[in-house]
Amino acid sequence: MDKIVDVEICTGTTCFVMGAGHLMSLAEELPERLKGSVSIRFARCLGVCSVPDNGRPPFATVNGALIENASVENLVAACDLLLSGEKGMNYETV
Amino acid sequence: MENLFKEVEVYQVRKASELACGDVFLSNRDPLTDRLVSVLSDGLGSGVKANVLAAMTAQMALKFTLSELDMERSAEIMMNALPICAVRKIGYATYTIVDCQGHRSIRIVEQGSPRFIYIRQGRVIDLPFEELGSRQRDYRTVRITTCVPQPEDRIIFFSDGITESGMGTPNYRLGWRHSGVVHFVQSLLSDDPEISARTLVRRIVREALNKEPSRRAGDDTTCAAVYVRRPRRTLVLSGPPYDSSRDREVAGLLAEFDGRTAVCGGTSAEIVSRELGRPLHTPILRGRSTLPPVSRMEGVDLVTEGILTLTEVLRRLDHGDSSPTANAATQLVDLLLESDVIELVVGTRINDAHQDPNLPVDLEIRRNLMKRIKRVLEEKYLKEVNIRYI
Ligand code: FES
Repeated sequence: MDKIVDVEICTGTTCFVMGAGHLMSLAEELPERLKGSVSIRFARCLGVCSVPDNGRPPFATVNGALIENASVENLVAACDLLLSGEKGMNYETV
Repeated sequence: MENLFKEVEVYQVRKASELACGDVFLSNRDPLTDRLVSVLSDGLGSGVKANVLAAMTAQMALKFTLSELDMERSAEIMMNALPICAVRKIGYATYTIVDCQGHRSIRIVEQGSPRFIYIRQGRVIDLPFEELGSRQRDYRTVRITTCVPQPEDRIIFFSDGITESGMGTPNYRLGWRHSGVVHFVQSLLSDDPEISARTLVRRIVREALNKEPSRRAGDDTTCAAVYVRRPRRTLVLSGPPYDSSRDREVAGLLAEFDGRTAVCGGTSAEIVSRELGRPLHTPILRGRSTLPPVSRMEGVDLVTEGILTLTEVLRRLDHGDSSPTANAATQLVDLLLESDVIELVVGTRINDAHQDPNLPVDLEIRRNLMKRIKRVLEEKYLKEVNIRYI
C-alpha cells in the first residue's frame, strides 16, 4: 500500500482554543497501521471558522475534505476510510 | 556623541541548601541624566542572615553612589560603617558598584569581591585602578577604576560563588577561578560577538553550576553584566490594518525596518506574506502544545499566532520567566527582552472569528493586550516602547 493521505490541521486561534492543541500530537498517536501512510501539516486559520454553517472548530482537512469538530479519533477514522478505498465520505471539499 | 544604551542584567542561583540568597543585586536607572548605578553585594555566610547583610550593604552603596558625595568619601564611610566579623575577622559583606554616568565615564568600586572583567572590542582588558585602605586598620581595601566607555564595551561582575564553583572537585581543586571565567567569557564572545548581557550572565552562571557536583550550587552564585551599545530595535506587528488598502504599507514597514521583526497573528502574517511575496511555512512540532506553533517567513525573525500567544507573553512578562519549555511565547519574550527600543504596530481590523459568542474563553481585545505589554515592558523591564495603531 503506497497511498498517502494528506492531513492538514488548523492551528489558528479559534481552532486552537477549541482543542486543536490536542491534534498537534496526531503524528505520535497514529495507530501502527497508518504510520507511513499519513502526511501531516499544520495550517494557520483555514478561513472556515467564521462561517457558522461549516460546523464547530477545530477544523482539519483530510485529502482536502473538511472535517469539523476534529479529534484524533475522527481523523484516524477518516484516514482509515480513505486508505481502505471505501467511498462514502460525505465531507464537502474546501 | 551618539546615543548609547546600557543593558544591565543579572542572573543568580542561591546556595542549594538555603531558602534565601545571600547575594543581592540592585540597580537604578535615571532616564533624565542617563545614569545607571548597579550594585552587587555578597553577604557573609549564606541564607537569611547573609541576605540581610547583603541587602543592607547594597542599599547603602546605591544611596551613597546616587548622592552627590564624592566617590572616595562615600567608599570610606561605607567601609567604616560595615564592621568586620568579630569571630572570623572578615568583612560582613563585599560589594561591587558599577556607576555609568551618561556616556562620559564609568566608575567601578570594589570591596572584597572578585575582580570584574572589562571587555573592549571583544577582548578582556586590564584597567588601571586606585586603591584606598580602610581606616579601621584591617585588611580591607577599596579599588576604584574609572574609564571612558566605548560602544560595545562590557563589564562583567560576579560573586565568589562563580570563581569558586567546583572547588574541591578533582577537576577544579581551586575552583573555576578568575582565569577560568575570563577564558570562558572570551570563548563566548568569539562565538557570538553580539551576545546580549542577558544571555551572557545566564551562560556564565550555568557554566559555574556545571563545575559543581550534581550541578547543585555550593554557594550563592551571581553574575551581572553591563553592556554598552547602540540600541537594539524590534518591531512587533499584530493584527491586520483597519483599512485593507494599507496592507502594502504595513508589509513595507516590516520589510524596511532596521532591526528585528516579529508578526503575531495569522491574518497579519498572511498579509505580509502576500504583499512581500514570501511564503509562510509552519513546521510540524512533536507532541501537544499549549500554544499554536511558530511559522517561518524569510526576513522575519518570528511569526506566531496572535491573541493566545500575546496573552501568554503578557503573563510571562508579568511573572518573570518560569517554565523552561520553549514555545511561541517564550521566543517572543526573549526577542522583546533582548531589545532596547520596541515598536508595537497594532492593526485594528475586527476579526470576525473572535466575535463568536460560543467560544469558551474570553478573548481579550488585541489593543488592550498590547497596551498592557507596553506597560509592563516599560515599568518592569525599563524598555522604551512605542505603540502605533493602524
Ligand atoms: S482558526 Fe481554524 S479555520 Fe480559522
